[in-house]
Amino acid sequence: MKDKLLQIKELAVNELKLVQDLDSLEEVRIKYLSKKGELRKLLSKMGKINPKERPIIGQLANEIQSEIENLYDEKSRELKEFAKMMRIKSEKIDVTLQGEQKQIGHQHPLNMIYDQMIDIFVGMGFEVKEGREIETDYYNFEALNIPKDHPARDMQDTFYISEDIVLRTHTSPMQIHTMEDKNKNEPVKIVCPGRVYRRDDDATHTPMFHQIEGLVVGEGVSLSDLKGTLELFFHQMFGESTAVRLRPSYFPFTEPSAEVDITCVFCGGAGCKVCKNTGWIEVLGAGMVHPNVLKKVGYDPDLVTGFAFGMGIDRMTMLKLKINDLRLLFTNDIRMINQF
Amino acid sequence: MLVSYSWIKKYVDIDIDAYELAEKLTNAGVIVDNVYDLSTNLDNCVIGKLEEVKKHENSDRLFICKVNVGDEILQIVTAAENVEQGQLVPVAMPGAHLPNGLKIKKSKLRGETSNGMLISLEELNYETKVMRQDEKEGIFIFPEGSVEIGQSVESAFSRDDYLLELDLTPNRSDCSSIYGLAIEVGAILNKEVKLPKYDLQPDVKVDDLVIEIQNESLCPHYYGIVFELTDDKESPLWMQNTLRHASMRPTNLVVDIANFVMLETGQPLHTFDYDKIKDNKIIVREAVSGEVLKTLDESERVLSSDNLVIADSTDPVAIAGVMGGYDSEITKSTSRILLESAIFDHVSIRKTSREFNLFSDAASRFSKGIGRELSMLALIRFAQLFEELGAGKAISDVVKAGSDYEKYKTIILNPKKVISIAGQHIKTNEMSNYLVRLGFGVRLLDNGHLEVKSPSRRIDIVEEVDLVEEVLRLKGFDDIKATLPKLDDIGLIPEKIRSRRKIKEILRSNGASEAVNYAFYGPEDINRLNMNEDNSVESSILIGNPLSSRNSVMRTTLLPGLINSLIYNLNRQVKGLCLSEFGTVFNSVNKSDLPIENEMIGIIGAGVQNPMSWYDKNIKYYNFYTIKGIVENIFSSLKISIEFRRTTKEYLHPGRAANIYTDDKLVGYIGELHPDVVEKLGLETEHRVVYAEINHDIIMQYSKHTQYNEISQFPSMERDLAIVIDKDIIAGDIIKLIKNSGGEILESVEMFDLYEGKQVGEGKKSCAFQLKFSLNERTLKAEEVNDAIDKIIKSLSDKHEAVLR
Repeated sequence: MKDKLLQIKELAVNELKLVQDLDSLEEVRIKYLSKKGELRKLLSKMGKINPKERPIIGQLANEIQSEIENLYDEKSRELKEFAKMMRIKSEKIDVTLQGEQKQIGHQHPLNMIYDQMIDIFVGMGFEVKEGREIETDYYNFEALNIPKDHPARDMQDTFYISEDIVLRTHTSPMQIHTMEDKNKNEPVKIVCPGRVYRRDDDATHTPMFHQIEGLVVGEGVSLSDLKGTLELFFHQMFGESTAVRLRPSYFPFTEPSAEVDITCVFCGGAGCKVCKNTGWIEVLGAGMVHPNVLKKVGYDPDLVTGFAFGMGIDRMTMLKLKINDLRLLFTNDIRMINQF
Repeated sequence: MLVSYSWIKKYVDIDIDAYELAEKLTNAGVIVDNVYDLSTNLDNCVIGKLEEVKKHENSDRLFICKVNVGDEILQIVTAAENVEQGQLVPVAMPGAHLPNGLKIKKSKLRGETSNGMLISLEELNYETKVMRQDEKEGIFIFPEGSVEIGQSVESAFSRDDYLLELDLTPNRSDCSSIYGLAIEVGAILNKEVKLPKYDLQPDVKVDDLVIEIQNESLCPHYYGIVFELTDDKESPLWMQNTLRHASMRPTNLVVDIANFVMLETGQPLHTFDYDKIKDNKIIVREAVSGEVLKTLDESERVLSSDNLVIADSTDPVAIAGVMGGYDSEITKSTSRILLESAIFDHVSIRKTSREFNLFSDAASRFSKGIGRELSMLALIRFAQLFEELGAGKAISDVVKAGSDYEKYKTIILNPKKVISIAGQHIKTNEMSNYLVRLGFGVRLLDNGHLEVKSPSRRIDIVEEVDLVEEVLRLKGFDDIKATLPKLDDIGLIPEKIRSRRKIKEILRSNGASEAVNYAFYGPEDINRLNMNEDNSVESSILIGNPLSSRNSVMRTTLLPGLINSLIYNLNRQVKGLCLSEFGTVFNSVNKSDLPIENEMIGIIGAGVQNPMSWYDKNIKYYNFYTIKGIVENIFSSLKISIEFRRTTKEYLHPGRAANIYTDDKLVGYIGELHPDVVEKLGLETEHRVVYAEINHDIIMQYSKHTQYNEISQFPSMERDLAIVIDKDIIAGDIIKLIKNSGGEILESVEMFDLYEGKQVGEGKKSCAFQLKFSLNERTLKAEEVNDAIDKIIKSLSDKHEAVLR
């Protein structure tokens, strides 16, 4: 019995040593270690041997079984490791092939700058108000100190729906609505972005465009506050090195009024074709809210003052993204939109 | 408006050049857009006398001229037909490089040497509108005695000068004259302004002129004076030059003087043939409706009571401030003229000028408003020039009608107001200085305020804030500090913008790029989409004065704009795309009220969605379900449950269109464009164009804030269910029924297979669903799920005769 055991051991060890793949290994396991394997077969005959020898044989059998099992485990690990190595080796792919790109959509540059400008103003403590696009003559003109037949009506060619209803030519009507909704003399700090319309269509004008206007009203609000506010905005929009310059101008709803220039974004102020070698580009109109406008909404111009400004989002978009043709903003050419 | 630098310099001592002056004016709010140097490119151009003119032997059209240019006689060949011996003409000699770009070289024309060129106003870069007919057709001929042989063209045409191109703001009409501008320049440069004073000494022969104003609110005053016209010759060259540089065409002496005085003083003048004025009577009145006047341009104008006219005792002789009458015009036979210098209501002139589409220089000045003190100034200046230039003499006193006016308007300025608006300290003395320089009278009152007297020509100055502006603009805005408002403020973004941003993000992550279109379109955009039922042009908001019919209808849907964007791209080798847009649409309630505005979300997709690739050999095209998927993603991320119900619209495929409902409220629709429409649009007919439109304003009201739903700790159970039903039963109904009969343990139902074919029989289809069951509080028992499935199967078979597969 003992001899037989040792013989099985020797056979099993030899076979295990020779095994080259997992399938043959499994065959060896079945042959020696399984319930119907050689070891069990032999041990089933234990009953026929001398009871005194049984414990000795049993112990030997156990030792042999665990020796074979260890050997088997070792071999199994080795072969699995090898198999994994082979698989990894065979699984090499071309990492330069294009990935599975899900199609994604792109932002329209106008929407992008619209949001960007709003975010800057919100960061500066402005409340954002959008409003209706078709307005009454009162809110678009009269309340803004532009009575009927005022020469200033020539400054903005207007689309009329009827004698009294117009496509808003600026987002200023929202300033009036906002102050009307407030308590008398209550401070206001808003920006009003949105679509506006003027009867103009050439290389530098489209009949519909986008504007953002700001209004700040409160005790002691001054022209220097306007300058500081615009400086802060343009530093964030175009960088810290952007300078802001105010020049006297005229708008019926503000007095004093100003045209505002910033350092040319194309040449950094050195002078170029775009800025006609002046180093400055005109970007917006602004001024101190005219007392008549404040009176119209029931505010007392002796107690509160305010400033207002308005600029074209389309123009900002062109300056910011260096888009050289206004038309591109409304043709929705996907080759342009995909760039943003 | 073009203004001569040297003309202003006549009245104020300017010690800086034109460019620096332009900058200073601009910085004070009188914007100068451009400065033109009139002297450029006039080298080698002199005055020559045509000593001999003869026909070219080898040409019918050419003349050979011997031209005396002072130190030599040049032979010059010209094609100008208006050459005659003895004329003085401008000559460009070889080496000249003319203002219009022409370079002059010695040349030969049909065998004859030509040592230069006789030039016309065109070569000198004058606009066509300042040329008389003969000046357009031939070379320029100088009036006799006005120039000398050899004199430079530069001096002959007064081109040793600069033109400032002003872009005046509507409030500063006082600067649209040389006098006004001189005062402004004097104030800015702190220099004295010396305006000439003239006397009027008429040789009174006429005392029968009567002037009557019927409505002084439309004509505050009207001055008239009669002149004897002895010689209405050509005006002197300097005056012609001045007019041409101001973009006006010289005509004859009387008209030229009137225009010259208008440019100088800002007051438009009008002249009548005094003998054509019936009963020597001028009546300023509103026209009688239906009255007809033949105006200078020889058109018959039918007048209404909205038009202010100048009439004689019976008929209108001019439309006040806008255009004179043909019959009372100065002609060769005129011997006495009546000069009008008056003020008319700017609103009335503006309306009339628009009504007749007559935008004369005078009308434009009147409609901006004119200071009352200018009328007498202009009248006297006209009289002085009239006599000095030999046209004749004043033969009546000035006849005045209308009200008196205050020479000055008194306004109190509180210096504190200036300081609070500027946001920094300015001395009262400094303020007073600026105002004095501008020609205001200033007196310091005991209470520290300033009493300011503003001259009547400054019609823009009406209240205190106007003076604040004057002070600050003269001080200059560059000095203003930069501070920030001291307010308690919180930046706020409205819910609508937040919601829009969120939806845009979903759209982009689903492959839809953003478009921006105009908010109007043309009737043809609606017609070609067969959209007349839902979006008829008749019920839309129409623009009363559109730029073109293509942009005349306010949109009621975003589809036409998105269709145009789609076609634009498909025509440019783009094989397919998906676009989205947020835009306002306008629907009228009734004609007199403001329309309803709604923000819509439009989504359009057509063509190739995913091109063939190495990892996926199937090309995917946009179809109903790709766009529907995007719509569903939007609603599910807003936590809004929706339902699609089949619908029909004339422009959509009858079998492929649905309305979208939330809580039985219509919030949008989706559909494939009708094949007829696709064909009409010129798209390839296999193109499936799918469009969805959702009302953002409505869905915002249903959008729920995201809140956490507890995740079940217990495993869920999944079961598949395959049934065969009639082909026409829609998935939506089946799923609804499954959900209703599955009980509370049914968590979700997904349909994962759809099959139609022989195996399930004609007119039938097989649908397979995956059902997920779970409970938050415990593990489900198999029997509970089985019971639920049984109930589902029973109701499916009861209601739809579904058979298990």
